[in-house]
Amino acid sequence: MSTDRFDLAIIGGGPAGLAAASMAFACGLNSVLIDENPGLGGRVFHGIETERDVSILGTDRIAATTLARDAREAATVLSGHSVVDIVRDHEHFQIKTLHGNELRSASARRLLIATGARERSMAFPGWTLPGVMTAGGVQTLLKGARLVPAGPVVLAGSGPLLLLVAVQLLRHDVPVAAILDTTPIANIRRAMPRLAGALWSGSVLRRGVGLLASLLWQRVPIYRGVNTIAAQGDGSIRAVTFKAGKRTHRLDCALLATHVGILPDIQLAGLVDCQLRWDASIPGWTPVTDRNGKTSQDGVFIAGDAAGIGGAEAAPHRGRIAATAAAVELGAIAPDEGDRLVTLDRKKLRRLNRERAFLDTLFFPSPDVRVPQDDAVLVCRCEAVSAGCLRALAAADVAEINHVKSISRCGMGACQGRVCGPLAEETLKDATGRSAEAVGTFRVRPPLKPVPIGAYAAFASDDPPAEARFLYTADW
Amino acid sequence: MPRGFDAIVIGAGVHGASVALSLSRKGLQVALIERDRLGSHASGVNAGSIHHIPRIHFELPLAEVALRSWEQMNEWLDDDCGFRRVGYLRVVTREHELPDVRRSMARVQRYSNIPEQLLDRRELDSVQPGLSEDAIGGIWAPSCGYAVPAHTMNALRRNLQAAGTCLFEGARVDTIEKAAGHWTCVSNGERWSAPILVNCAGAWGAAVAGLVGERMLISPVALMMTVTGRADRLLDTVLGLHGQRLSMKQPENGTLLIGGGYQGAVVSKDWTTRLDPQRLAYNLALAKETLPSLGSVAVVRSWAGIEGMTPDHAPYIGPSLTHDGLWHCAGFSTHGFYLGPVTGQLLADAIVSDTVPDLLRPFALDRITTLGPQSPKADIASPAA
Repeated sequence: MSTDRFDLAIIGGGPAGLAAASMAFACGLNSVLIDENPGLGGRVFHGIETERDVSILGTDRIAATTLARDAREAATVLSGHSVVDIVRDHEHFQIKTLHGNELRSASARRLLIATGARERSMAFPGWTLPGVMTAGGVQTLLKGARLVPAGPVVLAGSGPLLLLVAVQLLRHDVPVAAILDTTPIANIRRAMPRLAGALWSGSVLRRGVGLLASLLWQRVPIYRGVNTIAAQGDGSIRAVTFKAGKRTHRLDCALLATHVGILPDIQLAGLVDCQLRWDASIPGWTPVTDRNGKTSQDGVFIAGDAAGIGGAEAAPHRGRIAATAAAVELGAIAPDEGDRLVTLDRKKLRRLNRERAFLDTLFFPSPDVRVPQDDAVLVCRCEAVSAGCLRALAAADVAEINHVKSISRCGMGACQGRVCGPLAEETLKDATGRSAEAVGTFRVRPPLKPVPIGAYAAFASDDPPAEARFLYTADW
Repeated sequence: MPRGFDAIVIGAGVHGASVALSLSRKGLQVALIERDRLGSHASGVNAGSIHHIPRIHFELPLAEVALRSWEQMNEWLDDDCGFRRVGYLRVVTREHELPDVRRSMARVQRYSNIPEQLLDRRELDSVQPGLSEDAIGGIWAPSCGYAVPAHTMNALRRNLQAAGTCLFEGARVDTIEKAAGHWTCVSNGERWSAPILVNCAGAWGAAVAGLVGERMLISPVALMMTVTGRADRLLDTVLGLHGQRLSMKQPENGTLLIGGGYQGAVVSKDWTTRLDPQRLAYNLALAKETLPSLGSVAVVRSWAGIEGMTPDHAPYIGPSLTHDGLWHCAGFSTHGFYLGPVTGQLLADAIVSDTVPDLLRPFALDRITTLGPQSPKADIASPAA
């Protein structure tokens, strides 16, 4: 097993990582771009390198194709590599990746995390039934595997992605039975003062209006102020029931796609011990970074949604800024040269932030989508831990999430808390009235993805490694 | 004014919790003071092996009583603590180790009544199918097994509550004073006082002893553990490897726990731990070599717990050599969990009667406060000024 050495390792081949790779090259860095998918593009531009049809986001996807092509020329690209562990070894980060069933290793002097966002899970009665999935998951199947689901589909939740997936499904002739909008009515009032600024600054909102018009044109029923969603069925979903206003509805469906917003993917940040803070505007845990994406850990930068939700349009700017900062730290370019390189990026970001403030306010998830209301609902599906079980622990004053984990096994299954973490945190906060800081967040343990024991075995030395020496001391 | 108690126990690991519970049940008012959270270090995150360590002859009589105590955990804690008597199989893969295997078994037989059988290859297969072709035999100890540490610590927490023990978590004792026959422990301005003080601080045991000027040799180490996703039933026993570092088991939920005493690193600044990828990979390679069907099972998580090692890898248990009213119970050197409940009960008896029972006598502090020529290689740092 050989280890390749680089100046900079960029993890994540979405818009932030792609732009960072090109900028790193422009600054003279030898960088590696590591991504778990077969092709570049990340989630938002999934399959960009192989796709021919220009979809609804036409211009964007063409721009992304260019980003991907440039990145391939700018960096060593390791596609199909999942980062499973990172350890600091003096001046280098040793990055362990799983490629197929094989462990590989790369080393770099600086780390740029651009792993984007993950979808917030929504737990309600029946959410573990086959046929219930996240809207992002449906989109990935459509874009990546070209799996067109059988309809009728009901989409439930809040946010622009929901509308986009609905339109994409309709384009594939999948019947969309309804959209269940859970956006709290009060959010609209709160967001309005920010509307004008948002309209001028970004494109998400304008596109959203376009999507909405398209759905109305195709007469897709949209229910507003929806709550108390439940998936009905035995073995797989058959129907969804919900309340809209005072009325209870029931719609037959074969697929229920939910989306209640996205959260920064903090797995890698947590793994390398970057300081996190609770961002009440998402709401969720976010790495602490300066304006360049530099974290509390020396040599670690984060860009794009992984550093706090900023959207796909902001991501390339954030990627370029962070890559430039890494280049300055490595002495590849002078600080004033770095400032000059990203002047335009900073300007663009300031404008996009205005739209972000509007979107965050409008789509702020209400407590009843963040916290499972029914005690019987599973929070951790891997280990079958229910909301009621977490509330019982909270009542017994066990509410720090890692303590809850050790007692209940919540978050100990195959997903290692990636799906249930935010759900469990919100449930515990709701049950105790404690702050996010008091409840905490799951400690991240390697490997980040399940790794076969055989892969470790192939990685191991033949002889027993030297044992650590003991240090007897009273100085603690 | 400090809050007055009959006894203060420092450290809410399995030992501190067991001592505190036993003292409370004897009618003493007990303060149990913990720097982090009850069971948050080695006691709650170890692999839960319940078996003796044949190497340490003077621990074997205590081990025998400890093994029985796990069978009776229901009577003590109203909870079985996940104990399962699945037996302990130490596989032998190297012919030249057979004399050592026999010596080890003779030692166990001489110092205890713990049953052990030497198995040949055919018998090995009937106890544990699927072992490597290299396995030539093994030592089979059917009265051993495993328990679930997090489950055990939670049962202790419930029983402490019921017994009226005052548990103070998140309280690191910075100063210990003695005046007029009373110990006063101070943590961040809070004060507790009692005539009896018990040091159950585990890896921090030497540091606590240092606060009253007593010297103990305990080296904190980070022991790495790995757990897999749920797998088909591959392992029926607690499995070890003679002469090499390996320990694995498959509890009822189907996940496999793999360890064996491989060290990561302790970051003393904030008492976090770091894994050592080379040692971890070796540990897993050895597991696969011993049970080849493990190769395709996926690891989901590795972690390390902080444990206190002594020079002869046996704990310090007994009264202080320098102070009246002070007792130590620390440095269990990776095999503290299975000894914890019974040691706690015995030590509570010893404290109340002021007589050390025979079972605990060999662990007295005068055993090693300096490193002898037979001790493992070690660095000694000078205590804090």
